[in-house]
Amino acid sequence: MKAKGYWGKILRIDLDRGRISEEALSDKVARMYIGGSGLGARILYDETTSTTDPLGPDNPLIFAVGPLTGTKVFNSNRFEVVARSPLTGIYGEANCGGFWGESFKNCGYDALVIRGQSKKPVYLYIDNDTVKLEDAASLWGQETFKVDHFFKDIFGKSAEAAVIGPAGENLVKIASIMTDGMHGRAIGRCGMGALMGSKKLKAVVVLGSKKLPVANAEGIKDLMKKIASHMNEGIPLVQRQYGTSGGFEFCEAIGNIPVKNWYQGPWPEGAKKISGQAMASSILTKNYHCGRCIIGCGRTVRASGGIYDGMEIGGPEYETIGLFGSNLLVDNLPAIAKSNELCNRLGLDTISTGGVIGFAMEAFERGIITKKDSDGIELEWGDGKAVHAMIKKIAQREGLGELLAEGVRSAAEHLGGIAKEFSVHVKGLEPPAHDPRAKMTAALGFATSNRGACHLQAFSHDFEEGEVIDDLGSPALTDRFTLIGKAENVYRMQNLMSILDSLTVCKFVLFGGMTVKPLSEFVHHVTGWDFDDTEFMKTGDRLYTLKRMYNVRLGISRKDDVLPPRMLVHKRGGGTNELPAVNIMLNEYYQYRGWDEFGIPTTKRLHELDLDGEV
Amino acid sequence: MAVILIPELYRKFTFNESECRFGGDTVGIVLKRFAAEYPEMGRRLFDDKGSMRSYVHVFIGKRDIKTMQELRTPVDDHTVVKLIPAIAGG
Repeated sequence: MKAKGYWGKILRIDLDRGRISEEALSDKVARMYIGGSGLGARILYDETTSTTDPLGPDNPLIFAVGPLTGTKVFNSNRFEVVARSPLTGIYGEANCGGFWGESFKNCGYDALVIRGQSKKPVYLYIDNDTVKLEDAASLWGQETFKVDHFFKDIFGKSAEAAVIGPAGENLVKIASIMTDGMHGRAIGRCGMGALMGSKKLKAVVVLGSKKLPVANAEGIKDLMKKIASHMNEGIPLVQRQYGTSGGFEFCEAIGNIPVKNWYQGPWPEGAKKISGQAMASSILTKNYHCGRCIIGCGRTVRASGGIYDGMEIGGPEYETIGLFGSNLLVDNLPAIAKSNELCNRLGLDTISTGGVIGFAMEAFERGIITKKDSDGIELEWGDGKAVHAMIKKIAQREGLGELLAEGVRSAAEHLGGIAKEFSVHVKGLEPPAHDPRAKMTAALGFATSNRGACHLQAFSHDFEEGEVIDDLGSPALTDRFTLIGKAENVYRMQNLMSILDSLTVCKFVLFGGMTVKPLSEFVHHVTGWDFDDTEFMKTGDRLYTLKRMYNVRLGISRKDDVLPPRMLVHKRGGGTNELPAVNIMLNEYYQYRGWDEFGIPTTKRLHELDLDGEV
Repeated sequence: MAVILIPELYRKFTFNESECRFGGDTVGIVLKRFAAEYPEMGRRLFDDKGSMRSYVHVFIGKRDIKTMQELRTPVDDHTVVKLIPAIAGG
């Protein structure tokens, strides 16, 4: 491979046969699909069909990093996991920080593709050129923190492990894959933990120490110097101080948090008790930096109660606080931190778990679920202990947990009646803690996200009446309720996010001025490619469209680009009293995307994006 | 007079002004005068009791005034006051 920033190698594991092999990554594929979720989507498209069982052996579990991973570029140490989602049944991807990504890259690979199903529990060990499958019978059933400790005890502190907990083993469809032990960084979304569990793969342990060659180390250094001053002022400083939930009260004020399963409006007193500011003055002990991170938005808190009582542990971030706090009317920060700890230990996505428990609480309030169904647990709003009990039941698929383990969509279909009216999901994925009724780009972004309800596929919520990306190519947005300019903004933001997820760079770098032009310059300095901002954005368009084509093959079209009924018919109040006109925005959005009226990419657009013959 | 830099988010409340100058010995006095000139902006900075809202971040240089003397932080003619928009999530 000629390009720098890549090893030019994909590691392949066949769990059916216990085989380990390597495959070359070509310059052409690398340039067209970059890495991370782009490369993952390419592999997934090529290696699955519309009949691939999401929990079957033929669904590949793909870990991928980008060309900047392993370099000194700020916040470049993330990685992506791509597969057909066990939760949604469509395209799935999840993004994670921590330290696993760089260590994996430093083993000498750009991606890891795991196929098949082992007959007995195993873990995958990768120490540079040494790759082997090891027996994991003694680890099966163990919580993620303990498994991480086990690997660090055996292989040393530099061992980084991506681990599933009991939830993944039990094929819970909202199960996560966890890294960083007690700091709890999550491959949270889309139920990737269940796929890993179906493969009987307990962990992937990496110990990489190779040094990646780059095209222009001096160019990288100079550009980092320019960027560094911006990363140490303004929003990044606020994020360092208060984490991702520093704006929680602000979000409450504008109606942008979920309250009582997305039904209620104002909740100011509760929001004040669980904000990033409240955390900073109570349970916070220090902030946490992912690898190569210059911001440090992660939280480390003092655990209270249980086996980790008094110990320093990963704290809840904004989305977790929203779903386990305001969404359930829990205004007790230690209780939310405990929910976060339980999910991290058991291997559950905090967003989907908080979402499905909110659904269950509303069903309980409406008498659709009773104490008999919930094994005696009173699923009352605001009861942290009931939430903790339910989390454990979901992870173990016990009682009502069996139903909730399948996610909101499935649970609502099972209960029937009006349950679907208050089941909040898009394409089967429970939403994060941003209300589409509060911001029109969020509404359109949720509806058209390739993985279902997601704030990160467009990441527009902080840029609508907020920050501005000068070189994005569309005007700044100054009115969150108007429809004007929203389709173009979402189109461009989704393309930009597709690139960031392929470079596996943290999206928060945008707040420090690492936007389109600097990012494309970094790609140029790392790879040696003449990669300008025009190619940068076109590549993002290509990647977004490739993922759409994967979903089109599964039957996704305009009928699926919708919001849940609650967000279309119920005016919540509390900072917003709007209902998003998604259908109107969709028409304009499809025009920008070059998709037809049914939301299918046209042949012409596929040609423009160099995807003809590729999909 | 101290300079207040106004982020894009707030400019619709300041008739598109990106910066403005107000006199005063402390950042609190400067911001109160700013709020009086632009009442819509004022509602976003201060609550009904006149206290600064907890999610409003005011920086002087690279320091949050919450880590200085809060609204009593002294300012002079060379002081640049930055209002940082509240963001959340990720």
